Amino acid sequence: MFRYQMYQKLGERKGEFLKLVEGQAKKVNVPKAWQAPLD
Amino acid sequence: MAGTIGLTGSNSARPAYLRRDIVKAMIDGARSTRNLVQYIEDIRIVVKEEYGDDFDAIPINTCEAAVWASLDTLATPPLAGRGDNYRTRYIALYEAHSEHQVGYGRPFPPKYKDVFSDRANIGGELGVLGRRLNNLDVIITPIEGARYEVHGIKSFVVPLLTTVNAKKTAVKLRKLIERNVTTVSALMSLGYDSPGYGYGEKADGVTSDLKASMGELARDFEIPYIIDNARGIPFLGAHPVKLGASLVLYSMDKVAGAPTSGLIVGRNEYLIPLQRAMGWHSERFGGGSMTYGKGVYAPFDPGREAIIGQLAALRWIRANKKGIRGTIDKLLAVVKDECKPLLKKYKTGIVISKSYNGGAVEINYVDTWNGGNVGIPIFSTEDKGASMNLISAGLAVLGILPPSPDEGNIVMTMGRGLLDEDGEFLEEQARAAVRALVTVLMSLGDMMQSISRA
Repeated sequence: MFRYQMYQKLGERKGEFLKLVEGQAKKVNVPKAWQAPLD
Repeated sequence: MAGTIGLTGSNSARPAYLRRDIVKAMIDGARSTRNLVQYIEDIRIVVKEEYGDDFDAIPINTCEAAVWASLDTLATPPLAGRGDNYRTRYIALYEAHSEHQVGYGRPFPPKYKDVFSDRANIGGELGVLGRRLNNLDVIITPIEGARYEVHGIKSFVVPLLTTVNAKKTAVKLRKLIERNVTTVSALMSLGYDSPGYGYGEKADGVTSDLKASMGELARDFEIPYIIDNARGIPFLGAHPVKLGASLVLYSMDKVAGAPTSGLIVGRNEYLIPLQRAMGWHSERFGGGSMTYGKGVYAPFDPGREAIIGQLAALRWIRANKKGIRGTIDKLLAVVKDECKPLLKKYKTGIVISKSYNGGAVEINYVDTWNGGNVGIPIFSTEDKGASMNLISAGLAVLGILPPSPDEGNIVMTMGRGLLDEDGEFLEEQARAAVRALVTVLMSLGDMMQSISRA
């Protein structure tokens, strides 16, 4: 696979990636009090 | 995005909180009868005390205004007088954040004419007119040793700068000036001093060799060398004498801890025409001559609170150099500690460094792609504009205001929630923010490798 194709696939999987990161929130352990709403 | 804690104080759209002493100075000043000219005088004196009487300063409303006013005053051809105007050209490195310091001339060679089109330099009629100054061209110069590879979900050329060769670049620049000697009117570069920006080579351990050689060239050819040190802290780095700089430009509301404002520091011979352009030779407030009156750049004058807060910040920096360096060292220790999983996974290719000039700790990962490896995804600046920088997006999910993780270079500065009201470092919050960043980088690297194997 060429590099640009990898980036294309990564772009397509943005939603999946963000869900994956969300699942790791506990591992990061940022207290809720520090998390202002993101806009 | 608006989080409570974050890893950047160096983005004017998401400024860090002002310290209590700066806010107090602004409030006190706003209720004082002291003339603003006196505050401006005080700023000049602080700068002269640091660099000597051959140097001077001009507070201005933003760093971008400083770039514009400096190039328009010192690098464009004169408008007045009979006859057709001639054209001039400034030479700028093809480096990071180029849409700022490289965006004020018509690009030469023409292959670069579209280079910043996605970065709002040529985003419409006013965009065209606004960023490109009268009869000014910019020679965009690739840096020797740098690699210009295509990366990003929104594919674009990304300058990869960890392998810059300062000596060879200086030779190239000299040839370039000699070839264009009748039209070259200025040299321009960023003011940063870290490896990720291509300025890691330092013979004396402090001064960037590449910038110092540009200073020598400027002196030899008697043209100004303008350094855009937007995300820099005055007096801690980018020393104008050591660098041979004519002007060093600052965005004071980034890591310097001042309210929204810019600052021009430079040699008298270049500051005098700029002071005139700013209107210092006319009167506006009814006293003194150093006021922002009817000069062409009077619209760039800084506001009252900005001037007063900037003065307080400059005095604080001069008096607390050791403490500021100590805070940066503390952030570096946190980053090194939290990056252990990253360094374990990527045995080479991760470069962690600190910069006192930038008040920053930098993680550069472009070399994780070396040797044909699939590294951590490198996002183009164009990705940022298209909201496709997944480092920023991932950090936002975790509630952390992201740094500027473009072009494989992550610059962490004292952002929201990393310093308390008195400027003391908050380690627990910093650890959480850096841990979030490492988590995102690890996940991205894993996903890219899994894609490459599919």
